[in-house]
Amino acid sequence: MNDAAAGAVFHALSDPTRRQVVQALAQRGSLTASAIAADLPVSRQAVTKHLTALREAGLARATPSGREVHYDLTPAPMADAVAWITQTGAAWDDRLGRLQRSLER
Amino acid sequence: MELHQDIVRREVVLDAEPDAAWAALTDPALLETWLAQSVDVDIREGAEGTITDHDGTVRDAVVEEVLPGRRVALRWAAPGQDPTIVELTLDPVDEARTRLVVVEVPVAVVRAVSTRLIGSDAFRGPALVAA
Repeated sequence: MNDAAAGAVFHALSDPTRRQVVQALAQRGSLTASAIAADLPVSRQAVTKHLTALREAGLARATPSGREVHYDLTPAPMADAVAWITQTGAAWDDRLGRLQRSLER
Repeated sequence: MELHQDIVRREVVLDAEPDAAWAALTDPALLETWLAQSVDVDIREGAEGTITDHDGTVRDAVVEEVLPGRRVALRWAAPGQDPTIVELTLDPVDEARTRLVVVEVPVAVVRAVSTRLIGSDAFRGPALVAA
């Protein structure tokens, strides 16, 4: 991996509900856990857990505002993860091309 | 963005009968014709060594699983990078052709989904592709 955080990114995005949370933040910007939960079939507590996982993967940021906490997407680690997929896939395309040529007679 | 356990997956059909395809995955001299410039690890379970790419990158490698005729799984890591699992799985197409499926996944992701994988597969190893 290019970035030690990229594994955490893949893990964070492997959960379908977390992907919905990411989508809500991407489409609507800064949101509270309650606002996200209102649009999803899960509890506010469950959304808060997913937001914690996203923060640990570097994909979200929490900003206290009075008694509320607003969450924003910080998508840079996602770009790192996509770059890793692209580079790793290209390396395998090269290797498998050599393998196929080596087996031609 | 669709993410699942096969983070990077490639599938090719080789013009090789299964025995020749297996040799290409396990004979270091043959591996050096395609996988990397230098393959300094024996393909047997538990073996450790290094695999040096054409660009000079030296990866530490551990052979995680060898299922004769069927699958080789390696764990490798370049300096300063997270380890990944590489799984090479063969599947005969006909007498003259063999399908090769390559999956490369960060170890962190394999750990995250390993309970599900182990539950769904009788094999000991990472078994990213159903055998």
